[in-house]
Amino acid sequence: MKKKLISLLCLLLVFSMVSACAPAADYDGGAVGDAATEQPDSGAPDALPETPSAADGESRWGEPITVSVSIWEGSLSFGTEPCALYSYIIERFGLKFDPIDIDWGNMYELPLLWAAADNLPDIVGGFDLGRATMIDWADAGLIRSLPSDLSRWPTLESWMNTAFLAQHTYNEQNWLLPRPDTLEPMMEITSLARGIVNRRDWREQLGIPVPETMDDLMDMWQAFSDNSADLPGAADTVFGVLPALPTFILDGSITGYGSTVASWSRLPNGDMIIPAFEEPASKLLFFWREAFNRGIMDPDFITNVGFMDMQAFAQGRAGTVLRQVVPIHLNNIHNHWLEFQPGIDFASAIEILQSPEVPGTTPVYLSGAGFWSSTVFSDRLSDEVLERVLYFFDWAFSEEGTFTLMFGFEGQDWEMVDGEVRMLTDINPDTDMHFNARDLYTFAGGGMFDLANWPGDVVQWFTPVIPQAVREMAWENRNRVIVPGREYTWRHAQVGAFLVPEVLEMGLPSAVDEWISVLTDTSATTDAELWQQLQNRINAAGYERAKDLMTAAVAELLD
Amino acid sequence: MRHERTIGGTIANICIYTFLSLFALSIIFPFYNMVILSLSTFADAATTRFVPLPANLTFENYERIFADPQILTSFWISFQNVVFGTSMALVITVFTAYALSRRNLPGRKFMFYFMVITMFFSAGLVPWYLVMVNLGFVNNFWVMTVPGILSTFNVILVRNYFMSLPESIEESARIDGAGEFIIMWRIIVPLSMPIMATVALFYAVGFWNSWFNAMIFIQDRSMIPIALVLRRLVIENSMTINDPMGLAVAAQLVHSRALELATVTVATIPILLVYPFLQRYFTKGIILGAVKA
Repeated sequence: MKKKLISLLCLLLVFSMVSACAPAADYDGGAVGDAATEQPDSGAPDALPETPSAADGESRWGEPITVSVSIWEGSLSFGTEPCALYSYIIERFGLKFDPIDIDWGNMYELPLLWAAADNLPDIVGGFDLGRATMIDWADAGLIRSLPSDLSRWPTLESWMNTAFLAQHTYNEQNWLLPRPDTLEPMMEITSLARGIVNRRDWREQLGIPVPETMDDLMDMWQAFSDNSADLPGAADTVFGVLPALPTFILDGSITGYGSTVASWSRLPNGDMIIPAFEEPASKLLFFWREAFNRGIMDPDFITNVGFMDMQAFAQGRAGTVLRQVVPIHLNNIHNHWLEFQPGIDFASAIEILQSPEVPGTTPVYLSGAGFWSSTVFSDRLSDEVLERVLYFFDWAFSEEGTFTLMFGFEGQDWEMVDGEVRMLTDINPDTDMHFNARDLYTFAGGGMFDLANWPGDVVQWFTPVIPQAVREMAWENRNRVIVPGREYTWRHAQVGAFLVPEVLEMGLPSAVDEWISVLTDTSATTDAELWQQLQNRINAAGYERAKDLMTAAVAELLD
Repeated sequence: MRHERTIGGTIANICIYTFLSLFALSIIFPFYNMVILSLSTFADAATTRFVPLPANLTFENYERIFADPQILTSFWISFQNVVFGTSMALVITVFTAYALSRRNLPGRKFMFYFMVITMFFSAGLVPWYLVMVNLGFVNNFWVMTVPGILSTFNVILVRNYFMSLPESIEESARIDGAGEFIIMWRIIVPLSMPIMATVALFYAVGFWNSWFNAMIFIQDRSMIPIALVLRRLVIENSMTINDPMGLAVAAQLVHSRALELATVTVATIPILLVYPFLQRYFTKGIILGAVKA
């Protein structure tokens, strides 16, 4: 028995060594690969869109150059053989990519290790670099700046010349490309990122009209809590309202009291403030305190992470959830809903409420543009290679590139009909939806498209991947917020304290933490006393001086 | 000899057993809860913190796991890491420990302390990373085992155990004409099965659970060990949806706690199964190796 066991172990050892020495098995990316094996034949179209090389009438680039690139789950983007889309990229831009994975598990450790070892990939993207790190890397000579003249890359130029990116320049040069969440520079789509997702069926069952005042809103939530036993839902415990994350109580969900955002914001007169620390914001703060003290606000919001709010809302544990109201997020709620309450029609049971307006207060609709992550270029990248790379990025940032990376080739895989993408591909039997670029082309299957625009944010309004009813709900809200000619009070640039090291060193208290400590105060201390205590704390930390320093620094930067 | 039980002794025993039982429960309970929830439906796992038994027993989560080629591939990689890594690590550890246990080895103390120093001081992450890169370990299967093939701590345990064995046994063998290799392989190692089993367990658990080297150096998803898959899974599920994932994923993403726990269960059980086979050696091995010098 003992000898047999030893023999077996030896056999396993030999087999293990042989297997480990063998070339790595081709891995086709899990679900993406599975879909790809069953995909319909979808090569590149016969007539490619005009490229720089085609326009010149000759091969502009010659032999393709391979560049290493860190991207989000990048290895998923590359099969063993280039897909039609990747072949198209190689031909059009003379570039091949050697991908290095970045993901949640290594997005901080790996880039910092590369930098410390002076071993950055040629293109570093896929994570939020941050201005401080960018400056460190620029000073250390690890990355190179973008050319000062970007006129050959018009889409990039339109981005890099925007004021909001000015705060990320260093030594009067641009060092990064943003991965923005919109096709149009300064289209402040984040205004749509917060909203009041409400149980319409509960409201109507209780005979409550659409809330028009803040008191109406509070009363509706109270009614949800008081009548929880009679309302449909998969759970008995019901709260009136559940913010998805603590920051959502002050970052744009309830806009009636004006701006209450927790980050540095610029007033029309140029002053820099943190609106959540200013007097007008106190009304919203004490609105939440009352809700908390009445027991109609789910206290779990303080520790919520991930998908917990969506699960709670989908279970029927809250009548309102404060969350993003763009199609992606609404669809996430919808998907959770299908798990918990498949018998109740989501589209008819849910509504997106507008924040009630408060007389005498200018509501805030917009909160500023931003970007999710950034891409920088290694100092080892030559001018010639950078030129090719920028042509690729210019295309990827464009509407053509964004839609191609998301849906495939226009005219072959999809067409635009009345402002909506109509897929021309076959139906995927696994999902009952059309094959999209992710299914058809491995190049679009991973994080490759994360380098430029975030197609998820851009095309979510058009994609058939999200049910039409869900998208219509988001469109309806968008059209209420984005109104031509509307005066937007808070068209400000949001900048971080990193602009002024002294402000950073002050270590101002977090507005979110301060608000939570106040609104969860159940003692007999009055609102006025609590507000004064909050003011004392932030002023002791230097808030007033920080405002002056930030105002001066931003004026110098932007004006 | 008969021991008289005193009231104090009985009370002390009750306290000790109560404490140990609670302590054991605190270890067993999370594992039990994990298994039970992994056998529950999506909705049950999301709504309940603890159930003694699944309300709606389902193996759907396990079916989904074993249908995922990445999980199966990673299992195989981890298995290879454990088999190869443990085997080679044991061989190298035994050779090193045996040499260091020889009292007549020139420079023995210097070599020993030279190794011990590495337990307390390291060159740092960046130099280590550069060495690995220059040795060609990027995207290389061996990076998950070779850099950790020798543990100084384990060498000390084995060396101390070897030194605890009576020298007369060696002398007898030597009189019979045995050389160093024969003495080590035919005499010392068979007499050291407790410490062999203990150290093998240390290495096996270490290789099974290791993910850091793979995270830094492995790009090919067909070479990712199960521990790294688990780490990613747990991190991703604790994130908000404000992430850089593609639309197709984000639009269809539903976080399943039951699926997450099923994956953890599947990844934990194989290495747990090793313990019963080595348990009888374990305690004896570590105690002897630790105290004899």
